[in-house]
Amino acid sequence: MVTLNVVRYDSEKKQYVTSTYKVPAKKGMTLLDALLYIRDNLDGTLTMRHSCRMGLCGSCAVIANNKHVLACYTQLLDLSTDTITVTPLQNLPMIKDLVPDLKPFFDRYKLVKPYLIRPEEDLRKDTEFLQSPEELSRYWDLTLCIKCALCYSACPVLKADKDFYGPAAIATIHRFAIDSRDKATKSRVEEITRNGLWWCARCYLCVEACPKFIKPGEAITDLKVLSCREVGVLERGAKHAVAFKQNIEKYGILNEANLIKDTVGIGGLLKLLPLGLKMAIKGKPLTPFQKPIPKIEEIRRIYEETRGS
Amino acid sequence: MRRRGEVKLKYAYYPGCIAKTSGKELDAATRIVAEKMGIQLIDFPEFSCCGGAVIDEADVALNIALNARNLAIAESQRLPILTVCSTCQGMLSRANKVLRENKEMSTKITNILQKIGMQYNGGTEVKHLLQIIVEDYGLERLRGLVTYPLKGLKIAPFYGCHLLRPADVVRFDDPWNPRSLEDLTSALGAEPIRFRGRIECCGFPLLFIKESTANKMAGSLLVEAVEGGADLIVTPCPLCHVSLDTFQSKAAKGVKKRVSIPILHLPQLVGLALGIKATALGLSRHMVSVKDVLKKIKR
Repeated sequence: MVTLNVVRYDSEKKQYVTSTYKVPAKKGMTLLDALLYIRDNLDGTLTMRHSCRMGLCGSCAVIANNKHVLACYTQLLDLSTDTITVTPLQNLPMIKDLVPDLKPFFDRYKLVKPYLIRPEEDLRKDTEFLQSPEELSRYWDLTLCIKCALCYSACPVLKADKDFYGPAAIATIHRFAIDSRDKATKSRVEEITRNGLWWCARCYLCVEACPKFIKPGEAITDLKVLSCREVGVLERGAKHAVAFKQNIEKYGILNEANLIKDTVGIGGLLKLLPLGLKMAIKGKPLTPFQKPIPKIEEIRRIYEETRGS
Repeated sequence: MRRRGEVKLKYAYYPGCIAKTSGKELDAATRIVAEKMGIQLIDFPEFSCCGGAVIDEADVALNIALNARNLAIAESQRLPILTVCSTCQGMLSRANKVLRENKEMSTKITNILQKIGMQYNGGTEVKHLLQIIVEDYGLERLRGLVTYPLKGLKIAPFYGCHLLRPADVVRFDDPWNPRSLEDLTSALGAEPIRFRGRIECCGFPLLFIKESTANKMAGSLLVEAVEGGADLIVTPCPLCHVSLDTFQSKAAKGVKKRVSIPILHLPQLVGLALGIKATALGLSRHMVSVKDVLKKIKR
């Protein structure tokens, strides 16, 4: 027997309540099987989404023992505890029990134009848009996204900032930006660069959460590199990355004062002045003067060798 | 004292940038605790920055090359690397993984290293101090060294992203339900407080990019730890320390709450339990006073 604590959203009282059930666990039973067992045998009111039962539709996404999972993809015994806590996804408005409202997730998804863009005249021609297997392999992994919203739920930036697009949507921009058939790379990259590409904190929770091993967080980092190349330093994040790079070429290790100055500018620096003073009092002065590390010429040679590559 | 059969632990010490600049207390605490534990740290002042999970957002190959050089320096002395920063740990591990698995990149980097008369053969292990204490040193052995158990202290461990994720890069603790910091806290005689945000992001990467978001992220974690009853937060990452300690008043404002909770670097907490003086551990250098903590353990 396994005990399941299911955290359910009570839509009338607008609060979460926990229901506890005992389920006869056996080898091969998935978490979804266990939830369906509860609904069929113990509590017909338990509400959840599910459909394909084989990790393709993405509708049974939940959090089990703190882990973001598809219920149908998760063996009950692999959770390796006698008591399992199941909670609904985070960062989304709730409908009932384990069912979140996915509208905000899909709204952002639609914003990124998740389809190939070609000039009108191309579309009128009868020719196909061919590409080589090698060109396909560049973005193939990213096409496996099943829109389950697990990454959206796991993202701590979204929790603090509802303007952030979230992992799946930004990774999708990368998917189309590196597709050789797409003719809107530059405008796609520019648009997301201006709308929060650099707000990704690279915590990699989305990478752990993705049941399809798409690694959205890595795709976002790749998109940042592409953004530097395609549209240059448009805003703070890129400015920070370029300033950081220059900083290390100069000193070998970080000079915090100069990095902050180069990222936020003199105006931003003035706002940080009171904090800087407090730091100095505590014996943590930030100084723009710093000696480079020994053998800094090796670092500079590495920079030289990688430039333009 | 070393018992028979216990191997002398020796590492190439990679302090990272913060411990050498604004977070010098981390460096001081690491050295003094390592000495007390009989862990030998070898300095390499020519180590460069790991890229801070920033340089590779502008240039991937450059970042890998910088770390290949760091890894090669340690390899030439046949030493594993000891880090004291979650981000350094993540970035060095990432370079190691790429150099070991991606032939194209590895050839490219080998050519670059040749230009400075170096080579890297993929032989350097990179471990964070926390990992070394848990895996190489052993918590039982550490327990034997504790002279001032931190009884009565409730401690909220906070991991820092890159020490846990991506799990196939760092290969250390469970990325969703880690326990190494909690186990260490218990071994020191204190009571670990588990809070949900302990594996989340402290907001540091956004401090100078979107400060309002960074403050909210840090603020909600701080509130969660306080509401969980914690006397202090311990972190193995100096970047998290900046976000949670240096920027604590801004973080509190970000979530419109009053918060005051001391943030300790991992070796500082170990040091207190080993009877090292608070001043030697640099505890006076924090923005949030640790006085109440010291009072609670009568130090």
